Amino acid sequence: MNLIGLILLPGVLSLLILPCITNRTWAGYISSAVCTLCFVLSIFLAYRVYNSGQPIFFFHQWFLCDKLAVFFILLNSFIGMTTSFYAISYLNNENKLHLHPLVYRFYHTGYQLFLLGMLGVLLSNNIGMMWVAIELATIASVALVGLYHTSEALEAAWKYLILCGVGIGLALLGTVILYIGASTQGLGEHGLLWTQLVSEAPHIPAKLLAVSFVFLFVGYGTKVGFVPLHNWLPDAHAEGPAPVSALLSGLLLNAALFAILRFKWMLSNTSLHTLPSVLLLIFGFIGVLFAALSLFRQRQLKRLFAYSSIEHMSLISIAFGLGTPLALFAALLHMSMHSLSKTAAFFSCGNVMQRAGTQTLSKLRDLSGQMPVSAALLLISTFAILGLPPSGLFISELLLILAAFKANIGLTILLLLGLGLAFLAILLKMQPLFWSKSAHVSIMPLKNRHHAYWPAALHLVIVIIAGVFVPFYLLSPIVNYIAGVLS
Amino acid sequence: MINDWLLFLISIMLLCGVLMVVGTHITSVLKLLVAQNTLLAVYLLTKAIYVPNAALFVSVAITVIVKVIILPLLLWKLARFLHLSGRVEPIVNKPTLLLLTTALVFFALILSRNMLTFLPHTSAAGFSLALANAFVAMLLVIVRRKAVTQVIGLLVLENSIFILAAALSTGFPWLIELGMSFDVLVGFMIFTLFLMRIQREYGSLQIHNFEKLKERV
Repeated sequence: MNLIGLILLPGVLSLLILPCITNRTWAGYISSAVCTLCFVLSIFLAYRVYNSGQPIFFFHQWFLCDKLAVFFILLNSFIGMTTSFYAISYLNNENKLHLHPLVYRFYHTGYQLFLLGMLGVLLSNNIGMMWVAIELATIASVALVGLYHTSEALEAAWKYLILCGVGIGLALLGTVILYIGASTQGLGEHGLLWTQLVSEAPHIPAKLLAVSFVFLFVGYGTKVGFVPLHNWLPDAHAEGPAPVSALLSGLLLNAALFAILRFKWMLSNTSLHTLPSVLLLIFGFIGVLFAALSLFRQRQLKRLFAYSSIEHMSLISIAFGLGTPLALFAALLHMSMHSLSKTAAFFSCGNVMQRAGTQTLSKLRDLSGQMPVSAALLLISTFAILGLPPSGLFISELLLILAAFKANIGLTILLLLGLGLAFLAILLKMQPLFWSKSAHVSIMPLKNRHHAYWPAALHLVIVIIAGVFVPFYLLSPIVNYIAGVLS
Repeated sequence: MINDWLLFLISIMLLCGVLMVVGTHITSVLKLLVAQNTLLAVYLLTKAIYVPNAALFVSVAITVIVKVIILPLLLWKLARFLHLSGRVEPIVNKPTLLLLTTALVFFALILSRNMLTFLPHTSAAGFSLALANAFVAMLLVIVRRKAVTQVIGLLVLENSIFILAAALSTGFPWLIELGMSFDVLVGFMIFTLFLMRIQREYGSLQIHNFEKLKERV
């Protein structure tokens, strides 16, 4: 059987099995086992694709796995695995009054649906199927965000659903217009295949392409959290359970940006090749500056990290907008490092919140004395997100600044301003949490600590190793591959 | 002849959309949505009879099952459960709203006229009307402060994209259409669950209850 079919199989099967399991502990471990199996399969897939250099197709070429996709699949399935383990401890430590017993069954099924949707986005060669997959991921994540029975969670989930519903509707509009453009070339149903579109795009009328790209950019950009469309993001991250915040920030934003990138490269051989870069640069710079300034007025732990996600996604889109090989390398490194360190940060936020019972920054004090392990993990992940050496984000931000410097000095100054402001904001907000001695909050012990710490620690170790030994062997082939697609 | 009939159907669908934007009674808005869904099914059926194509018949079947049978049933149950009735005033007055709608329709016409210079006149007209319907749907999401009309706006947006796909080509492959319908259905169920929770939490479906997470300076 084809490896792509094999990697989708565990997720599909788990959707059938998980709703039937009533035992909470069992459901959690089965979910983790499925994710682990998926990760092992993705290693095989990556080995195959990297070794042969040829993309793999499946099901009438509707699925495509090239080097770019396989890198993200590896990242996604790894983070999916660690998050599923973390969720076992997290759900066990939750106050039973907050969660209905049905929620537990619902949680694992929704979680697998969410992961399967994102896997579908990364694997799809058919742009219609890509839309279906991202919509599926959205619906599953909305259900997960609204898990708590608080009015804040309800408001966050509703906002997320409506804003992303409209956004994704616009993306579908763009997809249809693109399909119509392709049908002028007599492609028929093959007009939905990305590989066909890349080769046929120069013949499609430019105005159609431009309009469809703008719709696609706005639509999927809502999910990436580009600034005027970012309103749902901080709410959804702050009010959902910590494992869900981690997945939203670490994986979903990447998957949406991945979709935009596919369309960006489709236009690279046409007369419109500068349009995507210009859009990415404009929205990137607005995002970095806006997020950096917004960080100063955050009062909640997870909202702070949510705004930091907006900042980092904007940095990544600046790098893709620059488009030079150096910038592409920086962007890919930054994407993976940001996913790993931001998920680690949300894991440790979850631990801190469960023990302190609050996420208000002014109430959290003296963490290093009261919960040394959680505090250490939170501190290290904050440093990693700030881009301090030896974390991998230091290397990627340095490369990004160098790439911007090569392109334009004005852009470099703006970029440094945004980075500096964000650094200052997060440092000022986080610094009092650890050593100041005025704790008003009573600390509760964690009931289940089996999987509470190691996922975050593992992510941070990888981020630091990648900062010291930069994974050229993983990323350079992708940069070369993209250059090959573009020429 | 057949093209005129198809164009007529799309125009009536657009008319339904405009009526939904200016309508004040929530039940009439719901009825208009069901009417629009039925018109969509008739449109696809006409097309399938005119251009016999197995894929089109499958998509007619999917549309009829999901949009004409299941969704209206769910909507009807939801309306009974939430005791939906009475008036929902838009946030701007009706003449302004009508002017806005007209402007959006013109914008859609101009946009598609510029975009589709290579197409025969009739299919371009169908495309532009469908695009206008999509814009009107977005207006529908924005102008009411009530959770139910936002959902209806999203469903209308979905409808207009379906016509858009059908107006110019033979539509999407049926498997993709099945996926989309599945998404719409699951999405609608999630919406329903949330609407019930909102009703229980606040006692009404007014959006101005949602102020807790707004950031204030």
